[in-house]
Amino acid sequence: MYYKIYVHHSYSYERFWYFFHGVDVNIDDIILYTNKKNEFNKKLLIEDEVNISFKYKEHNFDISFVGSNKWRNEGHHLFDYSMFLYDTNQASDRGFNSNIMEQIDDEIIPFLNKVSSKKDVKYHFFYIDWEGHNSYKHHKLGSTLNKNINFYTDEVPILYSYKNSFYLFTNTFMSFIYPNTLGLREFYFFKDVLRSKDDYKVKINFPIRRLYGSKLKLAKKILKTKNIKVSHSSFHDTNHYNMGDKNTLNFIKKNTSEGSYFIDKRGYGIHDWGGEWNDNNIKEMMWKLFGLSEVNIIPEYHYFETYNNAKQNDIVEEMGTHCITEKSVSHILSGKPIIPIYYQTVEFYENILNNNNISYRKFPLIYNKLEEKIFDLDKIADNEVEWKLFVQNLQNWVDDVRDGIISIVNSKNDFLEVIIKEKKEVKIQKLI
Amino acid sequence: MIFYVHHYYTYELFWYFFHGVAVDVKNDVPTWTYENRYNKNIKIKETIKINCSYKNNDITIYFVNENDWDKDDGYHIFDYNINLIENNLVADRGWNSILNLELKNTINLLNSKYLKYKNNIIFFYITGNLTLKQR
Repeated sequence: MYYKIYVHHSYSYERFWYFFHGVDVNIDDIILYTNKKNEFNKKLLIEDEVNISFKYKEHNFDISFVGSNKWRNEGHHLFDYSMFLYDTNQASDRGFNSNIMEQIDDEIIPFLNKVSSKKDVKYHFFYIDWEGHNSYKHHKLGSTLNKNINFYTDEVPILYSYKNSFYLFTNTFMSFIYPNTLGLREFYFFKDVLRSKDDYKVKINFPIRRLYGSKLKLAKKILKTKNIKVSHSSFHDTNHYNMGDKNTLNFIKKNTSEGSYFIDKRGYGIHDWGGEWNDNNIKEMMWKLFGLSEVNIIPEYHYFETYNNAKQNDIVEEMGTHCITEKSVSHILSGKPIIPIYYQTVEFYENILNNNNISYRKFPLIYNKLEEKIFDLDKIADNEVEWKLFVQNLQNWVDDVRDGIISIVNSKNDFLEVIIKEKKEVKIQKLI
Repeated sequence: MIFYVHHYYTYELFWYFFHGVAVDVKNDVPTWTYENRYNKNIKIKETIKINCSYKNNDITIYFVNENDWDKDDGYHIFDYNINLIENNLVADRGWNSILNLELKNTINLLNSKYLKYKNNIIFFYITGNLTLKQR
């Protein structure tokens, strides 16, 4: 089969890999620049149309990055909300921004409905925001978006699902790597640096920035242990610590004031981590926290917490079910041993490997909420023999997950899988 | 002592030009304004004022980008590389051969400002390229 896809964004080789990883392509066709201006300045958006051909599972694809042109040409059309924010200079990092999301309701949905009305076009709307909210429900897409438009989100279809909504694991994972606005790609290569490190200050650390809810509860318990520490990365504005809660702020200051366990956001000169942009925080995490402890406890998001703590009037359909954020992705890419606060995070990654027939070594601790096992973990860390074995087992698991996922995204593309498997073929699909 | 920096403010530029000074980092070296709160790459057009001191000398710094060339009560700072970045000619610091014309334009700009205002202009030209210094 032959497929034509128009990508309605400026071209970059990084965006190619985000959308079209896993394909059979001549790397020389993935050009880096189109003229002298963008050759010398990678930050300039490439406005020229860029065409690339490749094969995916015996299907032939022609891709055109066309920006704001050719909306009604026969074929598949791809529009990505996060890329739109970059293209229009509204954001510098990927990440959810509730302050500017009305644009989706007021402008983007009506526009996509308009351009997708022709029979020989098929629209694909990417909305991968790394945030725990049901965007389909929030934007009332069931009644506002043309049903012929496919919607792609990072909410896993567990608590709810919709006919024209799809979860794309490979594109979601690649969204953390490309475009590399946060520097998360660097963690993959950081693994070699971490492997040669043997002077960790502490066995286990629980790195936190905003301290509230289950994180606060766990931190208080951890401070009663011998081998586990809590480190705190400050905000540049202390009101962000925990909605101005003075008790929490005092608790943080009292318990993390010792040496390396407090990371001052606004240090002097080279120690100034700057503003509260995601890329600043990610760099701080890499250089200040990954080298502090052998193992990190990570407060990775899981809907399980929201679901279990729901009040009677809470609406299940509004709960976010995205299971991965930069927290677990950064650690997995760098092969850093982790213990997520919910075991469901471990299960999520194992399910991805299981679904792709990839074997892995077992995670060495079974729990529901880590809070329940924190003193057992402390005991393990207190026994050198047991600890070494435990860390090795954590390492084996994260190595297998890392290698497994990279192998998946290098050979599979969940977006293209949707296109080639759609029952109702778009008319432009034709035999060569 | 007063400095007028003819570039758009960032906290990174502050450290580049004025490292080593005594300054209240948290309160006087802002990281963002309303303009660039969601996009750190957006240029801050408003004038940013920072007070600091260096060896008991009080210093007032104004990041004024294209404004205030006429002020005669301080030093005017202009940096070749930062100007290239601000004009979208390069993404990184570093010299390249296609930018010779831009150097001529920069010198013409600074000469014209001096001829007009007779003020004190400090020209930063840190290229990391030995041969270029002959120019």
